[in-house]
Amino acid sequence: MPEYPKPSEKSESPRRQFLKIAGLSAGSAIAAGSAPLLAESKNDDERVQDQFYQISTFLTGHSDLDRGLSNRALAALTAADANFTTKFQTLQQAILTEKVSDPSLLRTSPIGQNEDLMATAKAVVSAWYLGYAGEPAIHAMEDNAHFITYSGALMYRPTMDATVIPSYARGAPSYWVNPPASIKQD
Amino acid sequence: MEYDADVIVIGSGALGNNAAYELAKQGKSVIILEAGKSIPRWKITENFRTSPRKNNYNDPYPNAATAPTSFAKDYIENTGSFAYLPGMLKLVGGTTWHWAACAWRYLPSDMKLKSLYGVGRDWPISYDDLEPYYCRAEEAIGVSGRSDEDQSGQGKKNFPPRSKDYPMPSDGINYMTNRMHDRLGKLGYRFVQEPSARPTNQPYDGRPACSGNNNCMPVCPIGSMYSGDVHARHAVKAGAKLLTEATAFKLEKGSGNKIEAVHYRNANGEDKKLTARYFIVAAHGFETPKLLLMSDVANSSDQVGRNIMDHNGLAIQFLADEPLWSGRGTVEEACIVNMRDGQHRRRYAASKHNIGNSVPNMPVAQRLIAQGIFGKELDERIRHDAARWVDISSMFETLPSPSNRVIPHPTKKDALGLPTLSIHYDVPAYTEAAKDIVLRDYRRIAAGMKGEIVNETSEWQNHDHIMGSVIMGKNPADSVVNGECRSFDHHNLFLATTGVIPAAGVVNPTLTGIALSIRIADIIAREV
Repeated sequence: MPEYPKPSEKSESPRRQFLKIAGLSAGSAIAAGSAPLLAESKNDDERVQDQFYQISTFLTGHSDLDRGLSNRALAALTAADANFTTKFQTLQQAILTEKVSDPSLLRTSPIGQNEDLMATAKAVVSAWYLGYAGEPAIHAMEDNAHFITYSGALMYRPTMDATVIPSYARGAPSYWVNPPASIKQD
Repeated sequence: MEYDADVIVIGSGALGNNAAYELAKQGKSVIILEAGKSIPRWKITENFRTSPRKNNYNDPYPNAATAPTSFAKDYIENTGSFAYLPGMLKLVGGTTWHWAACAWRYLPSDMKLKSLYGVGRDWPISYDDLEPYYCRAEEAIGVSGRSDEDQSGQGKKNFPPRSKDYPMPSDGINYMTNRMHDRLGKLGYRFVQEPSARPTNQPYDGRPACSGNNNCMPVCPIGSMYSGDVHARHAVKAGAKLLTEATAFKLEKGSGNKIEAVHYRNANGEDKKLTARYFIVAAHGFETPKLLLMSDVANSSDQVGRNIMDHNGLAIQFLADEPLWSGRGTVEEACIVNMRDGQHRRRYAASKHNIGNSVPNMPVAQRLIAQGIFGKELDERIRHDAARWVDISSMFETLPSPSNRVIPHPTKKDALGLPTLSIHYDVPAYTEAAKDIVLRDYRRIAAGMKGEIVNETSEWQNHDHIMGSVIMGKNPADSVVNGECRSFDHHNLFLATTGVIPAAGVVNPTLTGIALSIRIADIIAREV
C-alpha cells in the first residue's frame, strides 16, 4: 500500500487534478453551477469547502449536490472529527493517485485495502446519505452526532415513489393495501 | 378538614390522565401533578426532523435538568446483568408520546399463569372482571382492530372474548403482510392484525385518520396515534387542574394510615404541599415505586420496587426474495402469535413476533455504506434492499423475581436534589429458556421467505414495558396493591401504573393499564 502524500506536497492544485480524474473540465464545472469555485480570491475555508464539494460529488456520484448542504456536511464532519479536513484531502490525493474513475470502484481499488481511507470515504457518503455526521447515541443524550439534513438525505431518493420519508404523508388512509405501482419491476 | 382536592393524581401520562378525566367528569375535584412541561406536537415533530438521533426516541422531547428523561446522563444506573433502560419521558402526556399504539388485551390465561401452567403468579382479578373496562379503555383511546381473529394464536375464533366490538375496524391489511401471510401461513404461522390506538378511515375524538406517516415512534406528527396528552386536555376541560413542573417527592401519612398530603418541588426548587381525600400515583413504572420508597409508605410487604419485569426481546432482519416494501402504513401492522399461549408456558416463556413495518432506508443505507458500496450502485441497492427488508422483533414473557428491583439511588441526585434510579435486573431463566426456540423460529421464517439473513440479535433488548414494580396480588404479605390497585397499607392510595401487573404476557400493557385506571376512577368515585 503506497503512502499517499498530503495535499500540500503536490504542486498542482488538488481541485484541478481531481477534475481531470473525474473526467470533468473547468467548463463542465461551470455548467454544473460551480463556477465560483474557480475564483482565485478565495480564503482557505472556501477552498476547503470547494474541495469537499468536489469529493462529495465524486463519492456520491450525484452531480446536483446542494452547495449549502455541502458546507453543512463539512461543518458537521469537522465538528465530529477535528482532523476530518486533512483526512478527506488525503483521500482526495489517493483517488487521484490511483486514478479511480467511479465511486463504485473505490472498494476494489488499492484504497479499498486502506481502512483509514475507506473510513473517510464512508464518513463522506454517510453524511450525504444519512443526513448526519458522527455516531448518534440511542440510549443517551450525549454523543458526537451532528445534524445535516433530513428530507435532503440521499438515502430517500431511490424510494421516493414507493415509501415516505418518515413523518411525512403519502396518499390517503389505507393506501398501503396495494403495493407500489412499480412492484413488477422491483 | 378542608382538602385541596378530592383526588390528586401524580403523573399526567395516559393512565393518570384517564383516571383524572373519569373523576373530573363525575364532578370530583381533581389536581394533576406533572414533573415536566407541556409542549405542542409541532415542536416535537420539528425536533425530530432536525435531530441526528432519529433512533433515539427520547431525543425530540424535553430533557430538563429538573425533569430528566431516562436517557439523561447518569439518571439510571444498572447493577444487574441486563441494562434495563426504558425510554421514559417527562412531559404532559407521558411516554405514550412514543409508544406505537399497540393496544392489546391480555388473555384470560395470562391472568391465571400459576393455576394453568404452574409458573409465576396469578392476577387477583380475572379477565371477566376487567373486560368491561377493556371496552371503556378502547373507547377512550380509540382502538381499531379485528374482533374476528384469535389473538391468542391457538387457531380458535374471536379470542379473547369481547362484549363489544372494537370502536373502529382495523385498517386495510398492507401488501407486505398479505404476501408474508400467503407464504408463511402455509407453514403454520398464525398472523393477527395489530390492534392499534389510532383512527383508521375516519376521525375519532378530534384525531385524524392515520395517513401512514410511518413515524409512530418517536412522534406521530399528525396526532392520529393516541398519546396521553389527549386525556390531559379532556381532564382539564372537565375541570381538573393540571400543575406542570411539579415533581412529587413525598407522600405524607396522616391519621388512620391514610395518605394525607403530597409534597412537590417546582422547577425553582420551591416545595409546596397539597392535601386530598384520595391519591392516585400514576408516575411511571419506575418513578412510582421510587416515590413510595422515598416516602416510606405502602411497603409493609417489602415488595415495592421489586419483581420488575419487561418483555425482553430479540430481533432478526433479512432480505426476502421478493419486494414487500416495508414502510407503507403504520410502523406496526401485524404479528405472528403461535407462541403467545400454550402448554409450553410450563417450561419456557411465551413469545410474540412483531413484523416491523418501518421505512427501512436508514438501516439499509448504513449497511451498504459500511460495505463500501457507493455511487450508482448504492442507489440501486438501496431500492432493491429496502423493497425486500424484513425486520422481525419478538417480545418474551418474563416472571416476577424479588431480586429484580428498582430503588432510589442511594447517593446520586438530580438537579432538584431528588434521587435518581438504581436498577438491578437479570433476565429470568424462564425467558432465557425460550431464546434458542425463537432463534430457530427466526431461521424457519427467513427460510419461508427465501430470505438472506442480514442480522440476528441474540442480545436481549429493552421493550420498555415496565411491570411488576408495585405488584398486585391477593396476599398483603407478598403484594403492594390488591385487585383494585389499592394499597394494602393505605385505604385512600391507588397506583395507576403498569407496575401493578403481576403476570407479564407478551403484549404491550398500556391498554390494560388504562383499563385498570378507569376502574380505579370508578372505585374512588363511589367512595369520595
